[in-house]
Amino acid sequence: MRISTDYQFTSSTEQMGKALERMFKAGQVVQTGVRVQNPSDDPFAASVVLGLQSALSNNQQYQQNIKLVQGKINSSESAISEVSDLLNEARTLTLAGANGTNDQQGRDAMVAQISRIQERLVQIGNTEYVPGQYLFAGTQVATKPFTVSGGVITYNGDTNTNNVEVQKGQTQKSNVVVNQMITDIYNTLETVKADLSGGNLNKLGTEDLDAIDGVSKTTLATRGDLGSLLQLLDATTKQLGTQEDSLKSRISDNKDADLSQAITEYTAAQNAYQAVLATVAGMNQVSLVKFMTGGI
Amino acid sequence: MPSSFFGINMAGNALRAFQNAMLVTSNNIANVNTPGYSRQSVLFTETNPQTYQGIRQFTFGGGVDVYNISRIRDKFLENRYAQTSQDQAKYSTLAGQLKLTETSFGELSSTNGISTKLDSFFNAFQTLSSNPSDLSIRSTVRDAASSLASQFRSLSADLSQQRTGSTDEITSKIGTLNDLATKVADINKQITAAEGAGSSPNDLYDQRDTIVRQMSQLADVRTNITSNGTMQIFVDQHTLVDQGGAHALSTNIDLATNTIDENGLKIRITGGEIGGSFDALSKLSGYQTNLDTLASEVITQVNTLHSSGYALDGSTGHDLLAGTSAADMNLSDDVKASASNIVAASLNAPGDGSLALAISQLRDQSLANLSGSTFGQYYKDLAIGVATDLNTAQGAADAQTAIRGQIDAQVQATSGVNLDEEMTNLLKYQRSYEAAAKMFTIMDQVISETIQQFGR
Repeated sequence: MRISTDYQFTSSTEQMGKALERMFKAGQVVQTGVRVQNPSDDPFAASVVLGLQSALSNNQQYQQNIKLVQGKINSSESAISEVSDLLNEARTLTLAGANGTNDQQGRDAMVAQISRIQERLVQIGNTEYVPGQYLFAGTQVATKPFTVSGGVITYNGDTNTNNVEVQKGQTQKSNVVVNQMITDIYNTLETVKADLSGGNLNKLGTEDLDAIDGVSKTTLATRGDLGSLLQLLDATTKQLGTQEDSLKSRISDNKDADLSQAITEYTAAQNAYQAVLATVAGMNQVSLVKFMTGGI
Repeated sequence: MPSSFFGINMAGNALRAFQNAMLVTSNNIANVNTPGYSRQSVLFTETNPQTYQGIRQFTFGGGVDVYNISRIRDKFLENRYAQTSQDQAKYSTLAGQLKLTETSFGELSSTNGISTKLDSFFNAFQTLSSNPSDLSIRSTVRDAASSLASQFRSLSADLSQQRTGSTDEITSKIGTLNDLATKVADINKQITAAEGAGSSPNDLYDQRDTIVRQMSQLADVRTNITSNGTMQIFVDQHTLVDQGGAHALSTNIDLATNTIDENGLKIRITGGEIGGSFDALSKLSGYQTNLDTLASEVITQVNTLHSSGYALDGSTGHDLLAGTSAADMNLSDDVKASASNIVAASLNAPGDGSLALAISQLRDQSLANLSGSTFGQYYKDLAIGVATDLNTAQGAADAQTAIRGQIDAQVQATSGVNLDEEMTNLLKYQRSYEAAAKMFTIMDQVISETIQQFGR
């Protein structure tokens, strides 16, 4: 092919530009470590990355949700375990009251102790997890759930649970409903008090003790329920953690550069650029004019 | 016998012919860098022979003359160049404008994209659902909603601005196209005059071809040369240049059909920079429609749930968002007034977060108005659609640039000036001139011999 002088120069300039652009792009990949800087660099990979990023954001939110639920369930669990302790104390007192060696004065002192246990029980029922927000009021968290008047306990909350999403499509309750349990315990202790005051030793040793054992069982069952919920949340957190790692590595697979490959490409591009420069410089040194005018 | 001065005549003709050839060669060298210049070459011809009667009849060659100075140009290649130039300009203009659009979407390159904002918005409602009575989390929700709305607004404003920009560009480029058409009409007049007088005005042809190249950069123009040398130029159904002169194309752009309104006639430009800008306009308006559909669906779906729930103070009927499209999406006045009007409960209970949960679960809901996609999928398809369009346009622009480069190489192979070649020619004509000069001297001596020796 005939090569015109002008074309020789313009095409050299073009080749140099192309080689420089390739080197620059390869360099950018090495510098940033990112292969897909803009979606148009690789629309397919970008589409995958956007989907994964959204899944990652969900995943992290679920983990955050679980932490919140765990906080509330942990507080509930320690509150209920204190109720268990109170019931043990009450049981010991009832057993002692049923024993004939105590006189009425001794039993009256026990009544006072049971009353304190009741007060503590109501306090536990009115636990606030943040000031003004009650743990055991169902979803009526702003209402003080338990009030006592003349030995009668009233529940002012509701029996709803608030459910929180902990995994896609899977929700867990973040509160337990214990109004029946607390009321039963309170009323059982009220009976015990009446029997202690009335010196009804036989009933104390049989019926009342059985009643305390009954509510203890309910309390333990509630604790067990909370414990298994905590275990489940732990397991879910672990699972989410594994998923998070996998999502992050898949995002990186799609978006980031394989560094050894990137460096190889950069080196190749650099060599190509040098080769173009060398040929352009060499090519423009020879011409007929130069020979005729005594050049070289 | 030829006349005594026959030899002198012949030598004189040769001197003149070689001098002309050196002039043409010099002109080639001088124009080595002139864009659009086609190299010229001298065509020599033998002059009429003369016949004389001696013992027998002899025919003496009459020497040389310049027959023509011809312009080396391949019409077919020139047309191919114009076509690829139209495509190349179209795709690179489109790619340039879509690059701006991709930047406005800001996906991957920044964390300000709508995909991130949508995630944050739904995540904020998740947090609220797990802590529904918390006032400070409502501020987080309000911030997330406000930042989502503002991202919709800013993207919509960017798209509108780009459309205005493309429209302005079309208007200004039609102006350039019309100016170039006027120049062609002027050159047409000079060419027809020169051709009428029997000459071939090579420099004018070059100028006209260069202008047509420039016009091909702008639009998909078609050319035709009539028998009297006039070049006609058409774009779609409009005649830009004919024998009567230039006919300016109107700048009334009909945005509904992406055409130019020329007294009711719809002129559609599909090539060159103007064609690329029209393509960009139609893409941009598609993106904007989809963005508006998405925004309005977000507003409707969120508000339908939100207005059915109870705020912390037990009030109900609060919207979260206001507006009907991406351009005017904003927080509702209720929520602007107080974050406590953000609703988490579907029952009048401050500890109920079920409505917040329901709103957050809108994220995974496929919606009929979004052709069965979720919000996230619909947006992703839109953003990746932009990226794919850009990627395709860039690919096409690169391919057309390469093709145009190859065609240009062929054009240059035919029409371009090569200095080595011209230097060789120059040497050749110089030596020929020297020989002709010598011939002249010898003839002169011969005649002077005759006059001086015999004239005594």
